[in-house]
Amino acid sequence: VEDQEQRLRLERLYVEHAKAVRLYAGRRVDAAAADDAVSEVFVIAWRRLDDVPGDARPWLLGCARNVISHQRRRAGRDAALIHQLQAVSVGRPVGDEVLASAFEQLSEQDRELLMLIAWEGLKPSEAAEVLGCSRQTLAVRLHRARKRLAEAMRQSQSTGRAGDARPTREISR
Amino acid sequence: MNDLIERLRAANPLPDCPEPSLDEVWRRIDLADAATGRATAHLNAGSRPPSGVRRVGTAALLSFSLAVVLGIVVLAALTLGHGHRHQRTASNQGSSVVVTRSSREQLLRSLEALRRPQDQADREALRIFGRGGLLPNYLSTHPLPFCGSLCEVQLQRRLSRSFMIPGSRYRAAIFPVAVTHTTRELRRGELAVVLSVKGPRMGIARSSAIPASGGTPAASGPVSADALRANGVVVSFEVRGSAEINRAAILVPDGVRNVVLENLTLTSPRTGTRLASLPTLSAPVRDDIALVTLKHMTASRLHIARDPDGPDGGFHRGKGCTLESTVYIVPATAQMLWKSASATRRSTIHFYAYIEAKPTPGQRFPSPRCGA
Repeated sequence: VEDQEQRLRLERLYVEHAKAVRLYAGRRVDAAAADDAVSEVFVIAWRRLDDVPGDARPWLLGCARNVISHQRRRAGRDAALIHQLQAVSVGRPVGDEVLASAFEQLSEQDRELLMLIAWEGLKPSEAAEVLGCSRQTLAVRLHRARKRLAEAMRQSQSTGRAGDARPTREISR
Repeated sequence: MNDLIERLRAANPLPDCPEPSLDEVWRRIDLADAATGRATAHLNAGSRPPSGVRRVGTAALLSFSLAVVLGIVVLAALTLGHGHRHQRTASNQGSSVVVTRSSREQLLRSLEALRRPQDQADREALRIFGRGGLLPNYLSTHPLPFCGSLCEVQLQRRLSRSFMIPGSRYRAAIFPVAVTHTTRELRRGELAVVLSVKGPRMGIARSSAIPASGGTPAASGPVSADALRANGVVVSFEVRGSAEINRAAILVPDGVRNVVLENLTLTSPRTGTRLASLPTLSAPVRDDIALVTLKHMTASRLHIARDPDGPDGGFHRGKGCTLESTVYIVPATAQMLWKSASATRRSTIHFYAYIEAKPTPGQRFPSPRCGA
């Protein structure tokens, strides 16, 4: 009975959050790796069902973040795969070249934070949980990241970089 | 500044995605459970929670771990003490069918296809092979003929796999099912395999005892892991409009490289007498499947007299009242020789063969609307 209840709980978690996790992963890695990450996240959730909080989304996205980092580290051992990963353009804003160009100039930490807020639609407190930092720290980081993005956009516009062809960016490992 | 976030939000590269499936998660959980047990699975490198969650008091974590370990030890002792096989509830069904872990492990060990992750094509196969309600609804609810109304099977969706048979245009699908009532062949909770094949000009063939559409007989019921290792699973099917209408797909366990069919015999379904003996044939195994073509299966080549009253186990094919052919469905038996790197095994297999008889000049389609 306990096993069945746990299974039902996992199924509920999946129904409620799988899409959010898939979108999170899909904005950071290619489709196959994203599918793999989603499965892995929920396997982890199954193993640690007692640790999953009531508001599970930040917890699951945090898991997804770790899983993707792990995927990248693992891929880093294979030179061919690195090449393949570097050729994939993911996590790049679309339809706004100035913004996309500026966004690519930010550090991975800034990009991740902005993506969590803008694309994952998290509140700052939830983003703090995903990134494993305090709310105060996150507020400071977010303020600085926005500032850096605004600055990068100004630079892009002034130097005409927006028209540069930069189809891909390297995925940091 | 908020405008910047709004602008970034509008430039979202992936605003939506298809609904992911839970099947792959269950498959991984099952594999991890089967391989290492749930306790050791905790040690998996990818299983660390986000750092915010890691800030749990060390004492509480140790207590929890200790409780889990103790729980597992007590559970194992109870299980061994009662001599019961560990069972788990099938998650994808609403009723009380249980799947024995040993049969699940056996099956996973036997077929490589079941061990790989479930992909979109596998999930799609559940829909494609299920056209007309035959799968999965039919399998999950319909009583099987060999055990009467008491016997039902339940499709294990997350273990279902499909793949193209190498070198052909046929797609094979493996549908594991759990048996809900003990029969002569299968125990309650045992996992068994239904093999299904689909391709051009053939419809859907399946190995289950469930009658297929169009009166096409099936060779056997779901096959247990033991039976799979002993005899494989055979699905024969008829390809319309082909010079050689008989094909058979033979699913065999991992490691088999080649199958040879000897002493191939066709038997009259009406009298039980031998109709014909066919020459030995062999086929390579790729992805655990051998595709066999039975050649020259026409009534005239096999010197089988046409039944003037129509087929006893078969069907007529034609356009309007023009009869194009009569196809007899007759039981076939063969000695199958399996060759793997380590051993050669011999077993007897049974399937149905299709024998085509061309009509005599002027012979009309035997139906009342054509004056028969």
